[in-house]
Amino acid sequence: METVNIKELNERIQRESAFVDILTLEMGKVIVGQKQLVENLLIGLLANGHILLEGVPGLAKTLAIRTLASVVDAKFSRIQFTPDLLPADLIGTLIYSQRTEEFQVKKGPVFANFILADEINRSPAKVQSALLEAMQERQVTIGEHTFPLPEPFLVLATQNPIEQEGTYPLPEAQVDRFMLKVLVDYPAKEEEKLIIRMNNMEEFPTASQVIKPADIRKAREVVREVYMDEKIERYVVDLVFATREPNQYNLKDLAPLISYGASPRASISLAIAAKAYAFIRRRGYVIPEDIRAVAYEVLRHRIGLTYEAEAENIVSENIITSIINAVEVP
Amino acid sequence: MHGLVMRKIIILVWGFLQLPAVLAGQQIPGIPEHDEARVMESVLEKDSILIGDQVWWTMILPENTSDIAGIETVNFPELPHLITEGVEALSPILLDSVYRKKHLESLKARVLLTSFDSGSYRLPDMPLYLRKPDGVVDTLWYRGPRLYVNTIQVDTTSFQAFGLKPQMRYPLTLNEILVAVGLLLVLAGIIWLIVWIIKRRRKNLPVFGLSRPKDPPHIAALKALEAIRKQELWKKQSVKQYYTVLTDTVRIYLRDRWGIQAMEQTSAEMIGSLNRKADGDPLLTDETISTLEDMLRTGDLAKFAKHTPSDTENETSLNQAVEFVTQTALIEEEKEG
Repeated sequence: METVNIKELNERIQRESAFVDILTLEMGKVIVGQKQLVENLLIGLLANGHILLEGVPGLAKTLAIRTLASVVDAKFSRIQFTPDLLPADLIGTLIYSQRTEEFQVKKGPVFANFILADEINRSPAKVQSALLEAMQERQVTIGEHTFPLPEPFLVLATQNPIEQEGTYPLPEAQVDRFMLKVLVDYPAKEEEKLIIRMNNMEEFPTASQVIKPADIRKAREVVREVYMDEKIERYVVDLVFATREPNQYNLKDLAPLISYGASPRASISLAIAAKAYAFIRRRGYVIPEDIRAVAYEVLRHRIGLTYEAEAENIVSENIITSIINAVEVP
Repeated sequence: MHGLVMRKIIILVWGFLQLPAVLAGQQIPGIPEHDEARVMESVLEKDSILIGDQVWWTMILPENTSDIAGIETVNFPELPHLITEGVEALSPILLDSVYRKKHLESLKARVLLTSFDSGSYRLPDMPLYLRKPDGVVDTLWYRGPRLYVNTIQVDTTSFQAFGLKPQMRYPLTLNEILVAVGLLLVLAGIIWLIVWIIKRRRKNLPVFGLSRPKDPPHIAALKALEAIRKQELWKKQSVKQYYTVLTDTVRIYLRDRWGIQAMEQTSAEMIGSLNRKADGDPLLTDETISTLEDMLRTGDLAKFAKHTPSDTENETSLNQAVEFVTQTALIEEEKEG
C-alpha cells in the first residue's frame, strides 16, 4: 500500500509553489482582470494540458499567453489559422539546399514552448489534425526524422464564438484532446477603465522573468504527487458518469439533453487539473472544492448536446451545474 | 362274436354319453379335478353380453348348507387375469362372509368379468377351500356357467363411415366462472400490494406497521451524534469513517433544518449557505458558524489529507457538532389550550 506523508508533502508544496504568487503578480502587471484566465493558464501549465479559449476578439488572450511566455522565459509562437494554411506551415518541411545539395529540415512555428493557435477553426481539418497530433504525441515527424517538441509545451487555441461562417468546427475527438476549455468574458467596468489607463501610458508595463522552464518541469512532478484520496477519486468518477448515465444519479431530466457523455480522458483531466488547482492553493491534497473549481473547464467541451437541448437554449454549463448539484459530495 | 359286437356298441354309447362331460370339464390351470358330488351352482348376472360389456359372476354358500357348519376360514384360489380363453377377470374374487362366534354363517363371492371376443364360453369350475378348526381342509366346487358374448352386427349395405367428432364444448359452469373471477381478484390484489409497497418505499415509510412521526431535525441529529459517540470509531482506527459519518450527520441536519442542499455541497459551500441564512436567523451567530467551520475543516483533513487527529481533537469535533445542533435547534413550543 502506498504511504504518503502528507505533512512532508504539504511542506514541499509550500516551498515549490512559492513561484505561483510571484508569477500571478507579474502577469497581473500586464493583464488587467481575467483572473480566471490566468489561473487556468497556470493549471494548464502545471497539469501539462492544452487549453481551448473561446471568446470574442480583444480580450487579451494573445497578451496573456505572451506574458506567460515572458515570465517563464520560454519561446512563444503565434500561428494565425487561415483557410489556406498548410500542415507544413505549422510543423515545418524539408527544403532542398542547393549549396549542400541535400534536403534540410526547416522546423515550423510549432517548435516553441507556448503556442497560440489563433482561430483554430478557420483552418481545414488536415491542419487542425497536424497540430492536435503534435499536441498529443509531443513530437513531430518531418521527412524521415522525428523531433521531440520542447518542454514545457503548451498550446492555447482560440475560437471565436460569434462568427461561424467559413469555419471548420473541431470534431469532438479533437476537442477532447484539450484539457480545459476556458470561456473568456469581457472585463468589468473598473477593469476596463484601468486597461484604458495602462494603454495610454508612455510605456506599456512589462512582466519580468520569474521562473525557468526547468522549474515548471519540477513543479509538474510535484503536482503529480499531490495526494488524492479514494473518496475524491470516486467523486470524480461520479461526476463523469453522471454525464453518461444521468438516470443513475436521479437526473432523468438530463437524459434527453445529452447525446454523449464525457470520456475517460475527462476523468483523467479532472483529476490532474484538480491536483494543479490544489497546488496553486498551496495544498498537498485535493478536496472536493478543487474538483468543482475545475469541473466546468474540464467538462464543458466533452458533453455532447442533443437537438432538444439546443432548441431549449440549454448549454453544457447548465448540464454541469445540474450534475454538480445532484452528485453527493464526499 | 355277437357278444363282442354288443360289448363294443355298449362302450361306444357310454363313450358318447361321456363326451359332453369331457368337453365341459374345463379347469383353472393348476387346480386338480374334483368330485362331481360336491359341485354347487354359480350364477352370472346375465348370461349374454355384448363385446366389452362387464358382468358379475356370483358364487353363494347358503346359510343352511351343512358344509359350512364349523368352518373357520374360507378362501378361493388366486385367479389368473385370463380365466379362460376369451374371458378376462377385471377384479379379484370379492368375498362377503358372515361369521358368528368365529364360525362361518354365510358366504357370497363375486368376480367381474368381460370379454372382447364373441362366442360361447364355458367358465371354469371354481374351488372353495373350507378350513376347519382341526386343520382339515374341505373343498367345495362351483360349476362354471356358460357366457355368451355377442358382437354388434354391422349392416354393410347401409353403413356409412363418419369422421372423428370434434372435442365436445361444455358450457361454462358457475364454479368455473367463480374460480376465474377469484384468480383475477387475487392477481389485482397482488399488483395493488406491489404498487403500494413501492410507493411506501419511495416515501421512506415503513411497509409494515404504522409510520412513526418523524423526529425534528435537531432530535434526529442529536440521536445520530450520540450513536456516533457510543461507536467510538476513532478508537478503532476508523478516523476517516468517523469523520464521514459525523459530517454526513451535520449535513443532514442542515438539509432538514434550513433546506440547504448540504449533501451535494462542499464544506466551503455549506459555510457560505449558512452565512446567507444567518441574516434571517438569529440563532446562526458568527461564533456558531465558526464552530461548525472548524469541525468541517478537521473533517476534510481527516477525510482527504490522511490527517490523523488526536483523540482529544476527535472528541472536540463531536462536541462541536453537538454544540452547533443544540445552539441552532428550532424548538417549537406547544400551544396551551
